[in-house]
Amino acid sequence: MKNAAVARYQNHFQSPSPRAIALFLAAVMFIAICALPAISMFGVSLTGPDGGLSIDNYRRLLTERRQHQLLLNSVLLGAGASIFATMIGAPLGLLLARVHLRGKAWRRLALVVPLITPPYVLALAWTWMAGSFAYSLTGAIVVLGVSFYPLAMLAAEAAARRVDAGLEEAALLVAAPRRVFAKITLPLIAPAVAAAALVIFALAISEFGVPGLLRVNVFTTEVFTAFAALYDFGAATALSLPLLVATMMAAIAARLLIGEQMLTGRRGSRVGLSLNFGGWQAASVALSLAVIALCVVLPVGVIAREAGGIRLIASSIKESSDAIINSFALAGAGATLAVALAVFIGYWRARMRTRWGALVDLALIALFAVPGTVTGIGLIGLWNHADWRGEIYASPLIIVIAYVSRFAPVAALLLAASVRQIPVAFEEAAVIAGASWLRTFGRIVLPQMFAGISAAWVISFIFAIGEIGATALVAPPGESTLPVRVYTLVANTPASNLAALALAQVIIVFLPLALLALFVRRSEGAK
Amino acid sequence: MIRGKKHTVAVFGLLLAAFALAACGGQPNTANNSTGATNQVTVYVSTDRVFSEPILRAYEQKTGVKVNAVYDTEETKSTGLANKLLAEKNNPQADVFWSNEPVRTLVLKSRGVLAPYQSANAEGIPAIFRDSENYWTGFSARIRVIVYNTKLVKPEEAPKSIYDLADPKWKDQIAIADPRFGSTSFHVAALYAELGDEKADEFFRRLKANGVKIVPGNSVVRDLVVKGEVKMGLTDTDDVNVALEDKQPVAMALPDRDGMGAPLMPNMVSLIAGAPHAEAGKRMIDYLLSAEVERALAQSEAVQIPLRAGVEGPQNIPPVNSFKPMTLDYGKAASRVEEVVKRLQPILGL
Amino acid sequence: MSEAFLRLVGLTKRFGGRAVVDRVSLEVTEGEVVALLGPSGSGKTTTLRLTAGLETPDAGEISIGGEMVAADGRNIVPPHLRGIGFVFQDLALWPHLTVEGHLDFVLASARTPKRKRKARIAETLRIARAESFARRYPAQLSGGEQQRVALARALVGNPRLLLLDEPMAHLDAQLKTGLLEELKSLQQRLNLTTVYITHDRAEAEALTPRIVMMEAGRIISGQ
Repeated sequence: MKNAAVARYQNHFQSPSPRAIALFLAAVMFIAICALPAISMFGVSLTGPDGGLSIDNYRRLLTERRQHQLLLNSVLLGAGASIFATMIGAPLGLLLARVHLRGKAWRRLALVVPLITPPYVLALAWTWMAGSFAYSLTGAIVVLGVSFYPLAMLAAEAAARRVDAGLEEAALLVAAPRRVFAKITLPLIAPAVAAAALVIFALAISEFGVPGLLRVNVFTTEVFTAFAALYDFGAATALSLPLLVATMMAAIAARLLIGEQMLTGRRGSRVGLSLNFGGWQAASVALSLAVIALCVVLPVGVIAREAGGIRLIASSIKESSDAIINSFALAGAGATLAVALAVFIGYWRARMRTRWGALVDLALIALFAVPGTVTGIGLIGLWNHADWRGEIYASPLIIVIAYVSRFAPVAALLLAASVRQIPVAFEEAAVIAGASWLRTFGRIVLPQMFAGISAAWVISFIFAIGEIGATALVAPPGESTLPVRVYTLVANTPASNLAALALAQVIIVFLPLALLALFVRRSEGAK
Repeated sequence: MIRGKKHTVAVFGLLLAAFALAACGGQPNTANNSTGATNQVTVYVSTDRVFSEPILRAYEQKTGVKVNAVYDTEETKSTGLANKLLAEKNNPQADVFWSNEPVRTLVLKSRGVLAPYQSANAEGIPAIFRDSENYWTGFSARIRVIVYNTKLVKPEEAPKSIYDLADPKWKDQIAIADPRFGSTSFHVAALYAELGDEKADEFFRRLKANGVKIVPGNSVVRDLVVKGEVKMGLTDTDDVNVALEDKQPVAMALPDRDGMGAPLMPNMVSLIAGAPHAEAGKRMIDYLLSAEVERALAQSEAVQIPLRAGVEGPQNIPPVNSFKPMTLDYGKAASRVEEVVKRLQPILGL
Repeated sequence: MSEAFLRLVGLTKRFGGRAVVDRVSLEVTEGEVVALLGPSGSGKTTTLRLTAGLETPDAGEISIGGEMVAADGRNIVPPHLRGIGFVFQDLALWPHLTVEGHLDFVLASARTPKRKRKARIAETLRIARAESFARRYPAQLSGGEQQRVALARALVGNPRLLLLDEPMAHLDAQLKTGLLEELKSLQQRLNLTTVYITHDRAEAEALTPRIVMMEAGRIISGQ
């Protein structure tokens, strides 16, 4: 009888699969690092002065009219920047994918520069260029649009490369290439472009530095005031809620518009319809050069001129060399860890059944939209304790954790898209062949995700290196990063010094990307 | 193709590792606070790094005590040290808070972040610049002044009172920094304490009607006056001094010499409650309150006015006994700052 | 002997030095059904793609209905003007268009006036027995239904030549037999010249007596 009982127990208890364990651990880490700071801050916002539950902060939110106006301004800024950026970036991305151009890698690199320049720096250059016209909502839209168009460009290019060639060929049999491009190719690219537009919207409405400099009153200013002028953590966090809601609503809208037409993966190695007819080549060259001239050379030129001579720039850089190395190393570490974590979260999301998946997407977008300062205060609350957590808090590791906390969610979204393109059959084939899940994941899934992982790493790195909200709060003494250093000095430093440091920030982000582009070119052969 | 990918990843990994080593190796080992090593002290500093860092480095040289300094980011661009101190309250990382204006210090006092300490060196500082409960001590001050463009404003028209800024003669020609932050927040809190709510509201309404430009910082006010984009504005003495050293056509006016007086804005230094190195913190406070520090800050580009008698003041700024400062109960004024900011928001359209 | 409707003469295509299609010559009379049979890698698909104009021949000629569409190493007539209906192996249905949308796209591309489009679409749906799911998207259809849509798309434009690349590859035997029968009767009714690729001999034999075998890029029998 005992044997029967044991047998029954063994039948009921199924040890969790390695896959479940790995994903569970990743989820726990993700929640601990990325979600807890935001969640704890929202807990604070729901706490009254007496310590009990209170919705005062939120009640004030709904009743004060000035906040409605500010929110409207934020939404206008976000939508305007998003549209402007897409108008510039999407056509460029398309051309990069489908037109035969020489030196594409370098062209693309040059076009990406506005993204790696801190938006605040672009705004400064803009004020030096445009004078009083810059100080307006339109000015802010222009600056943020230029700052973020590379996202639209990269998304459009990636999507255009990914379109199943067979779909275009089927259309070529009945329609002329121009029509195929307009009616088949473009609609298939639309979801990716819409997703990029959404990300740009989220980034634009959570921007603080640019509207602040250009004296445009937006919602983020309000959040900031609550912190810096009123020292009210609860109110400040409550004020971030409308931003999160706006971002999530945009996400839902995007999903409804695009519907369930999921991105098609590329089967086979045939590249899609190339645009080598008519004057496309000349037009592409002209467009890309015009954009580079206006959005890259002009602002950088203005900044460089303001920075003064090479010697000044070199000495500014030398003075802040520790901050520069710090920025580089910490952002690199942060991006690497964020992507490592996001790979598992993204995989889990991609393999999820649709209904839950939509919720997870929303949660990831919401986490991405939480302002850096809220995350920063939340991290202090969670990590600044007199135990092992305090040891980490007092070390540069806390900055890396801040980066992971802020950027793993967006990396997870990107990587989920990457995983979706890998047929489940690939994994099933490996499992049937006898490989453990871990082996399958490492040898089959990850290599297929290489492009997605690189993209996610680069994006995380760029964001991390420009991050200031959370870093300024959690950085231990002596562990300055470059943006924090710039802001520390900006009050009483001549504009030339500021410009020199801004230039340094652009260079240190540009270099690894250039190196990466070089390697990619060599490994892919001529493209 | 696979080889190319692996190659890329490997090189990247090596680069990253190299830099990580460089970063960790290059940084001084910030010993964890729980061991309470006595040869170090942690200071959070709001006073501009350009001025404060040399003072702290000098202390390091003099005493051999390692100074871990965290500097503040510019007032309107980030949440600043006060929030960090507030957030760290349950497990303080800092020993000393060195502020460049009273508002932040008083907010922290009201939230229980500070600890009382009466330094022997506080002796020479006049009583109005010291907290009666010893939570803070003032030193090296700046004055809130009116800066004006000497080419565009005739000597006989030079402003004498802040009420001149509300004069329609200067419509659209005045600027102030955002009164919700930094030293300007102190200034408006002082005005509300001095004038009372109604009169102060009225003053700001008139300013708004006069087309006052609200800009991100005091240095921007100064820059606009230098460029002639506005004719006058409210700013700090050190900001004006930068322009004066640069031989720009500006001058400063100490407002209301015959009236309420000009607001004097001292640095303030405080001990943090539960400081990990409390003794070292007290030594640091003693040092900061010494005559030599006041002298150094006066002589540097910070041009901060010594509060202690007998210390030579900076060149371009009138000494503290030569003008009428606003009599202020700093504690009372600063404690109302949050309320004042809320009142001002609708009036100034912020 | 009737005029060849589809004529391939000495058709050659090289990929990376290797001749994937090696001097292939073939003649198909109007209304005839040819099954192109052979193992994978024998060059059947490439031959079909050359005929459609999706690839450019390195040598040889292609003429359809007496019209030279490819010669001298180039495509003289682009794919969309050759009057071809093509059913791809993986069907290549457009995910963002409904079934009706697929058919409408073909007709609109051919500049068919709107009034005539509706009627033609209705008729094609009827022929392909796809009326019941005309408003759905491909993702919402079963394998067999998707098959019909692919076929309907190939037929709606009134093609003069129908090319099918292993269209039944992923269908079960029962479905196969049924669809094959439908295809046969359709072809007969429309008298449509058809080239059908498969690697399944039984399938080929069930379709037509004219079986052309290919191997290593060459036709080895059934010429």
